[in-house]
Amino acid sequence: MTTHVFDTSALLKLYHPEPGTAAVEALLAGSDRRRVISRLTRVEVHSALAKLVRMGRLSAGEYSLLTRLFCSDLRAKRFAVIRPLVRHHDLAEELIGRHGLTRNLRTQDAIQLAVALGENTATAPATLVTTDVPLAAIAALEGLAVLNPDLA
Amino acid sequence: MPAIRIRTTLVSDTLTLPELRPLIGKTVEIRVVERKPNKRRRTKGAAEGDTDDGRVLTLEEARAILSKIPGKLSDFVLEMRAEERY
Repeated sequence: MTTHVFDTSALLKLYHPEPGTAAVEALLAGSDRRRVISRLTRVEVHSALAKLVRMGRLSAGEYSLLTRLFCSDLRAKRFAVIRPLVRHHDLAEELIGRHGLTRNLRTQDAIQLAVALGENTATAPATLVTTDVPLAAIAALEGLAVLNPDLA
Repeated sequence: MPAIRIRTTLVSDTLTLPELRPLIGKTVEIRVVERKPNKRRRTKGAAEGDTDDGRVLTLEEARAILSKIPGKLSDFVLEMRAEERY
């Protein structure tokens, strides 16, 4: 059993047809893996769609419909949602200490990465699925497998 | 013939309503009336936005809405993150 931890940049490819969508669909097709997002990703999806409304690209009604589908997918357990706990925040602080002095590892990135690392176990190795190249580089330094759907 | 009542959520100005198939070829009157949404009722364990009466889009419908957004949403997310200060 493997675990794929999707960040928002990868997750939204499922709903928006674009390069990398087929790769994300393929990751979601198999039954032999866990699909995980952090609670922060859930918020970030809402935030991204809300910004598209502010930019005039989506209507408020479309925002409501799209977020309802997203929440419905979560309720249907399409993705397991991991709530960042104290241990994740502690690890995020350590990650910032290790990498943030020389790399741009922001607060949210560090918490996302901490959640992904928390899902990485010997029996169920985790892969971070993201198009965020700097974040992927730090994840790789931490020993986490990374997959960029744009390059898959 | 009795009227056909269809309750649906419009996601575009193009409708596909199989319920109207028996009327194809006939002259009909079409009226569309906006329904006031019911008050939100959350059931135990329901996710946010997942109302009892709210229709949930299919993935294809969601993609149809989002397909008007040019470029990659993944890049849009990365641009959002870049705007974060710390």
